[in-house]
Amino acid sequence: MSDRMSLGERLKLHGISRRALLKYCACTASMMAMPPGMVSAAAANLEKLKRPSVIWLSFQECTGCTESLTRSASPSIESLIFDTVSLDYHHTLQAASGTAAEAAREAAMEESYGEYILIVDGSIPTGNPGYSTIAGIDNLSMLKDVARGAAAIISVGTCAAFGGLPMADPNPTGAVSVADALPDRSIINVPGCPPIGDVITGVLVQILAFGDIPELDHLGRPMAFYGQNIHDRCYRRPFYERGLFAESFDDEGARKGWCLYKLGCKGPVTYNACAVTKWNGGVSFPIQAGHGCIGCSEPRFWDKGGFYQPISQTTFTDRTQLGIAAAAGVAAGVGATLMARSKQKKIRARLAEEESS
Amino acid sequence: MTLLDFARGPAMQWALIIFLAGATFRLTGILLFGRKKPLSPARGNARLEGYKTIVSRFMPNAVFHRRIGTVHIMSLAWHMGFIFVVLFFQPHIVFFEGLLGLSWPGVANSIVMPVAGITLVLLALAFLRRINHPVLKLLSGAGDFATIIVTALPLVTGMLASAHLVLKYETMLALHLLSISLFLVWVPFSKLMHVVLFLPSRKRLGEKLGYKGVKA
Ligand code: SF4
Repeated sequence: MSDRMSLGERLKLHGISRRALLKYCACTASMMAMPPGMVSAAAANLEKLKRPSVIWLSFQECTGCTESLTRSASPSIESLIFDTVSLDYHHTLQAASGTAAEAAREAAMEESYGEYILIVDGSIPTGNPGYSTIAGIDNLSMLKDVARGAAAIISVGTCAAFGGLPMADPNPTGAVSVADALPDRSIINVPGCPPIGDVITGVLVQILAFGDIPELDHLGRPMAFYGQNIHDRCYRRPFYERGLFAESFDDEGARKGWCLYKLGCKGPVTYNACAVTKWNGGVSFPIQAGHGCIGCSEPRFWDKGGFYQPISQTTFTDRTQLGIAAAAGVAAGVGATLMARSKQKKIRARLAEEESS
Repeated sequence: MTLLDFARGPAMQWALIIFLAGATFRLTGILLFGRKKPLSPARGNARLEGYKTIVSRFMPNAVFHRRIGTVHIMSLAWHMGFIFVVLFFQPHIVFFEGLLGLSWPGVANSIVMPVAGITLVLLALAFLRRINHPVLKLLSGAGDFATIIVTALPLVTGMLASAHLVLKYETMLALHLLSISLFLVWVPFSKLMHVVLFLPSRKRLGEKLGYKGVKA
């Protein structure tokens, strides 16, 4: 397939009508809360789109984000749009390896300097450059080098967006997020462990269709997908309000689909599209499958107490200090009383002496 | 560390430490402080009167009914409402379970929320009365007003957090936990200590009067 072919031509080739593209754009626009007038503009932009270059860098990660992106249930317009993107460098998906792979990256950077989109998954180790290298180049150097010519930078997954698992206490590699590694660049964060595939493509489509950065929240996440609180959108919410909770994963409450708050659900403090967009083509999401939300799209979700610890509980586990505090209070109380009593005794003795004399 | 992490972790931990050390210090001091042995023989069952007083003080003496009956009922309702919300809101039970390992059945939010609302209104009325009543006004110091505010804050932030209003839930939850921490720290240093002292002080008073054969 020619690299010069536009998306419109490509879709036609696959028997997808303009009407279907418009429908897709309308759906994406409503998901992103865009005005209806933008739909035809988005469709027109996408139709004209020629293969933009995308460089995907993988650092300290588990490849789950790539898995999420590629495991779409059926070929969709999103996947065709994604096919239209020239993924010039991606460890897992590219055929080339070693020197050839690095040559492909360098060629793509040179050809589309200032225009390509940089997607990063995985955090960047800063403790020692040798902790993670690709073709002998340490992650931080490669990121800085590729970021220089990128039109937009997207951090995919919580590791790239916020440091994720590699940054979990005690952060042995000195892992940092892309935003921390590139403080002078604005980064679009698409967190999740992994993020929903449709969300990754949705963000990409918005950048491709409109050539601008979507509206972001205070953590750099696109509002269209991360503006919703899981708890607010959860279908188990009525059970929360009625005080009906599953107490264990196999009790009556769990079987009846009651709220998972007591089993540690982090839905009330998590912002993501899981409860609305869902996974695997809208089939389900973790809470629907019977497990509480673990808050994977939030920074430091690994270090916020246990996954199964309810959010209204304290996170400190050592109760010894509380026992010591109570014992110290009693001891100080006894000490103060003894002192007061001896003073009382002395005063009484003096008074008695004065009376007798 | 986010505000919520701070509120769930070090803030609550230090608040509990200060509360426990301060409350046990004051309680031990009061319980052990020497009192003169009565010189006369007992004219009543002191211990029984002590226990009876714990219960009887929930209602004012019949002679005061007309004068302070309404205020007393409102005060009683406020305390009951507060205790009800603290003990029977499900996330609170989960909090206590994490801390003490004990759990008990809770009630639906649709019951807790109105109770919390009424409780807050009663507290606001108590506050208004305090600033308008000529005698109470003279008797009240900054500490009394601070105590009302410190008590109201957990209620206000808790209701807003539960309803996902004003601020994001996680921020409101953090403020709610911080306001509880403030409440705990304030207890040993203020009249809020009555949370701990009301039972022993009623019992002691009942015993003292009961010994003399007087109904407390
Ligand atoms: S399962 Fe989680 S997100 Fe859903 S209502 Fe319960 S606490 Fe909220």
